[in-house]
Amino acid sequence: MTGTINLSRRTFLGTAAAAFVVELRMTGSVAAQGTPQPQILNPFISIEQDGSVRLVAPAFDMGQGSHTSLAMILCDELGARWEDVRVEGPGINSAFIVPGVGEQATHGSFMVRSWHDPLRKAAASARIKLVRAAAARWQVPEASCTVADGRVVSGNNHAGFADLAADAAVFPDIEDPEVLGTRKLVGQPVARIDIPAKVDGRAMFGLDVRLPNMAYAAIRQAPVFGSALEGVDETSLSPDVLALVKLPDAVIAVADTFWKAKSALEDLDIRFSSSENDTATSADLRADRVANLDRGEFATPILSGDPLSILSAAQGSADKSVITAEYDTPYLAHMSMEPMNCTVHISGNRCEIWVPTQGLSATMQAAVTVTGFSEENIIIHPTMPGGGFGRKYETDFVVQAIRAAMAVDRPVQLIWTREQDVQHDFYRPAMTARMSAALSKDGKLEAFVMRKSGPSILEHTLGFPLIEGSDPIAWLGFGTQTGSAPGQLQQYDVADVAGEFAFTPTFVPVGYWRSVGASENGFFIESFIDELAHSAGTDPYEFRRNLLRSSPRALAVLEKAATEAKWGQSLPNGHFQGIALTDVVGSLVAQVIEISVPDGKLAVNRVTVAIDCGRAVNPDSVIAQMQGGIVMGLSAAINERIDIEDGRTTQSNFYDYEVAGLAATPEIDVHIIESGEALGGVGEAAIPAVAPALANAIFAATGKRIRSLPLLDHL
Amino acid sequence: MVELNVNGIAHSVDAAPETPLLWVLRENLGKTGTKFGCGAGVCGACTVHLDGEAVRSCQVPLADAEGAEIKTIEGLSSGNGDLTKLQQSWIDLQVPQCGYCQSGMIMAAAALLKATPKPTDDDIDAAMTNICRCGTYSRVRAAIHRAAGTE
Ligand code: FES
Ligand code: FES
Repeated sequence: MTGTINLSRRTFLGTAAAAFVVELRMTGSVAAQGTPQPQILNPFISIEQDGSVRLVAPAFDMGQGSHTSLAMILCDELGARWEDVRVEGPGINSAFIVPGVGEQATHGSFMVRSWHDPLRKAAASARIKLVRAAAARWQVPEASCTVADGRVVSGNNHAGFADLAADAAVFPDIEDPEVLGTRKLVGQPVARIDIPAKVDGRAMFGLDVRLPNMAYAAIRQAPVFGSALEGVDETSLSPDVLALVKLPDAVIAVADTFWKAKSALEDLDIRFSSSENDTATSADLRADRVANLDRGEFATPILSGDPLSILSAAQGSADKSVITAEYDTPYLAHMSMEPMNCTVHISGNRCEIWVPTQGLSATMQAAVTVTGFSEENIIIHPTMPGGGFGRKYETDFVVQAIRAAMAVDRPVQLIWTREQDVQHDFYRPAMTARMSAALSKDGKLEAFVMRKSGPSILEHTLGFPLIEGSDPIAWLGFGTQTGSAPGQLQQYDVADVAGEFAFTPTFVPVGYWRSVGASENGFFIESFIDELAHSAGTDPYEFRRNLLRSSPRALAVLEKAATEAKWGQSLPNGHFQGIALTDVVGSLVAQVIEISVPDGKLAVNRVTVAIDCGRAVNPDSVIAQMQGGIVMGLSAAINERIDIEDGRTTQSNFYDYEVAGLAATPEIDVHIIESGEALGGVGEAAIPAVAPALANAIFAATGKRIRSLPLLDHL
Repeated sequence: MVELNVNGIAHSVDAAPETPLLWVLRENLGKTGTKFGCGAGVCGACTVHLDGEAVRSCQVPLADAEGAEIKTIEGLSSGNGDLTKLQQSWIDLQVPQCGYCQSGMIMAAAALLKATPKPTDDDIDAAMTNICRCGTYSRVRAAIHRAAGTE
């Protein structure tokens, strides 16, 4: 299907019922005292006495619509009425550990694709239990019962879910229930359940948690990475401060209000130690990466065939050419609109935490370590996050908030200023890559090698050793994740491929940034493929088509984007196009970006995108994620860069780390291809193709090949 | 004590006169719909109306808000569950993603429509300088046009 583009004409299933389908506040308390308890059919489904159906969507909805999509899956298979459905997020429970991921977390665009099958099974099991209860009551065969619209029917007998729930709850879960695969909601654009509360101020984010007698905390962290707290001159300490908490690398002030806490900190004379990083700069860090590439010691996480021999044989051969290029990407900040924050209340040996988190299991582990309490005495209330993009998977701010709460007898909300957020991010790591390829005389790609030098996210965030000298996260988006062959280099038909890694550690904290390694690999690979096409004298679209002869699925995605964008047809005067194809998080995405460069200034006019994520559970959420992801991708490609000077981040707020605004947002035209293949991820899928499609368009317009980001540095 | 009029209700607030209005709304008055994003007047997450004009409340000292009519997202509609046409367009076009910036977006858009009931794309470009990291801008534009009947 093709996503409808005319937003104003779109109608959504469920908008009429939007007043009924609500997202329950995630307060952690199950029901008020005295109210009848719901009948629990399994960890995902319980039925209230009033007939409403409580569904636990086992993910944190960061605005990507996963609660709605997961509830649609449950509702369809259960046979419930959408207007009876109440949705809530998960508490800590092993039932909610993401299948195949091993923890309770929201990342990797895993939510809908990982939960689709288990949720359908849970719903099928609950449905069969309701049928079993009805059949027993009416003394009819189970096979005579049908389930729809929240009722079980057999001949003249019928009963609502609420009526049957208590009987049904007694039956054990069905091991391998028959899944009906009902599709009433799934596949339709359904109005998101979280949206009504987001237009009138009711939505409660982490920063909006209010507890009786709550105090507020502000923090100042050592600006230079690796430096430690040396001392604080407390003679000028404001009397507003209830507690001054000293951490190894930071100071926290607690006061009645955030403004008092923040102002008190600003007035304090805080000394941090010198650090071995005191003079380090981004340029030094880049020089390290380049030197490591020059050193020539690589791990080889990806190898198929013998590309290195083909490349050396091609050197100097008359009927082959070797093309090489060096690419570079900068550190990037996440800049979620809601800064880091966490609210903690410690009383006795009990610790309650309210936090906008992507990592529930990680938060629990951190809390156990800091408090020394057992898991039963730690209660975590995940709140709605105001953006995450990978940053809110970390637990640094949780640990700090717990430390602050330990110092006073009140609940404490720790709030980072934007400056703290920008200067103490876990940045997307800067990377340098050397690309080389051999082309035959007739332009056939015979060997492809990418050598990448940079830090390891795995090593930095988890302290894991590298896996045979490399970090798999750094290779996301290189090979295919959609299970097709050939699949060493996306789905391109080239047998001799290598990916080599020169691990270059850094003191700069690095972490998961929307689409992670694929965000730079897309730029490296798809820009270089464009270079190869031009070297071969072939149109970049045709060059890719030739490489996709054995991958009909990827070819269809590429062709869809090109056709919709009118690739190769005459464009308005001064307009140029670039194309890119990526294969990440289990989805295929092709983009054509149309630009013009009036008076040497870059204007992005239009982005045409085709995505094949197998099937779209809620097509409008897929369209929204493509639109938003492309804006974030454009912002990063054109403008974003974190610089390190004197061992610290030089940027500090939106005025010196500028992100894209409304005026610069082009028309974004989204097309969804329903291939019916395995579900792919969506939340991160749009990002990796943006930078290369844009850089390729700039090459088409100006003849200038930009090999390092952000693009604005070169325009 | 500073006297404030928020959404038509008078409040006496005990806070230093230089405290930004943003924090007073959020902490003293519990109006958490108004968000903190940058504290520097850049992102617009804290946008409220002061005598009908959109202002960034992180840049307004409490003392300057005394005597003014302050309107926050909670007071945009009558409060009986009926939404303004603008808020309804936001739902119709499913604008928000994470939603954090959207109170400020809607307050900025409401002020725009009051001053310019039939905005052009250029008007929207100029007025809507709020930041949305989720990138909901295409839908923000479409929802403003829808509310204004200028689709
Ligand atoms: S918080 Fe006021 S403009 Fe950003
Ligand atoms: S909707 Fe998330 S920042 Fe705008």
